[in-house]
Amino acid sequence: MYYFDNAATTINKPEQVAQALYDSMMDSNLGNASRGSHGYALNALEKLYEIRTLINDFLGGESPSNVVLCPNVTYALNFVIQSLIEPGDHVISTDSEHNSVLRPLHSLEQKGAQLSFLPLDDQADVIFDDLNDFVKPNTKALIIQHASNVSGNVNQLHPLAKFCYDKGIHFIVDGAQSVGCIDFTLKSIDYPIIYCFTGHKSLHGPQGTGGMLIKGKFPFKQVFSGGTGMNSFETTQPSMIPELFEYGTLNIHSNIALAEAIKYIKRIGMYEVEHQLKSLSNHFYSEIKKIEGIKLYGNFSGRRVPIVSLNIGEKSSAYISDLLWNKYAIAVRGGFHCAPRYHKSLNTQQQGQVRFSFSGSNHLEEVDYAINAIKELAES
Amino acid sequence: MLEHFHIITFISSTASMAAKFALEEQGGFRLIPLPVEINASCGLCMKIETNFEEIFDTLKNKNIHIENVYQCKKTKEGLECTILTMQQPQ
Repeated sequence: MYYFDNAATTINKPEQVAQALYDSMMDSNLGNASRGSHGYALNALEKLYEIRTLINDFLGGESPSNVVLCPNVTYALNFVIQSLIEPGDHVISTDSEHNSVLRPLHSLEQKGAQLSFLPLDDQADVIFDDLNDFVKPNTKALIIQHASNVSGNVNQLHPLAKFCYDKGIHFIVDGAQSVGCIDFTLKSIDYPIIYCFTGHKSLHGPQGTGGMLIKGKFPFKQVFSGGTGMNSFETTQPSMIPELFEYGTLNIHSNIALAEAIKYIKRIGMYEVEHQLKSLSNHFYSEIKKIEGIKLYGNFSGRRVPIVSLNIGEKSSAYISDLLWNKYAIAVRGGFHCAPRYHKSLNTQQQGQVRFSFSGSNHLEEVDYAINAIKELAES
Repeated sequence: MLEHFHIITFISSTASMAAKFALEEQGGFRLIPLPVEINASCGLCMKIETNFEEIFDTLKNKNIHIENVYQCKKTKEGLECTILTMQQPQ
């Protein structure tokens, strides 16, 4: 089997990640964090703080207390969008976004919010030139991906964060495809930002982990509520971060495993990780582009995450991805990748695109096997 | 003999743990359930039996957001806590 669907999830987790998950469940010392002051409850609260500290250090956040743990990036984005955007507000986003941003926005649109989308050029880069013209008196936020889940193009965050700061609007980033792929921390951003991430993709952690880092002050309001183990007589969710966005009992076991995954990546070093992933995807791209009849999507001259999306002539991406699986045991993602506006922009709303996405578990020999498979299919 | 100690309250459980981590190996404190005599946001608080000034200075220097500081004494009837007016870390 050849797995090139790492942008969906990584399937090869480091052994120590699985071991950490098992050990934490067999520990018998972890109670329910913030529920009681006995040793078991404090052990769990302390462990969660250690995890927040590790994530904060890894991603260059403002404080461990500003690391919110959520079930995944979609939850984090939903919480933030619903918390900050009111029915009369205007939001700027882009045609590259995933449904984890688009659907919460469209839900708010039905309640009276206004949406504008920055267009893409023919290399799937977001056109930011006219961003200033998109801003209205009621513009509340700019919400963008750090990296596209289809083209692999990376957006430069710092100038956008400065723009938002100057305009007095919130800057919200979907980091689903960037964290664990590119050598980046929030220390390079000097302005307020909300950065959402997931644990199960390039961080190689368990599914069901993720969250957000909050840098700066934001006027958050409650979007969901439940037990927190504190302020029991209050009828609303505590307003402080992270408790405002953490409801009920956290998945401490999976978060312990996520922390182990981050330690694993830190030992390798993000510079090395990015270099390795770039080598794999560059090799794939440089060979694939030589094949007659192949259409490639994205800007391959800039910084990228290890995603290469293509089509073979006018053949359906679903047909090609199924052939790759049945004939070559190659797992890729065809179709529309939860990015409807992206596919309309690149005129692939009928054909879709065949997405190859790489991880540190892939080897050059596997990539060569995939290149040969595409060659055969293109010639057939 | 009456027992005297200080209580520091926090805005959240995470903030109380931030305080614990800020104090690292510094002794003289422990996290306890919030006494019923005190009204605070978080059900956990820090009981400080020795080195209060040193502990408070550390929390202040590390910008730990505390809610209030109380001076407490155990009496035959229960606990008497007086809120201290002092410059608090933000």
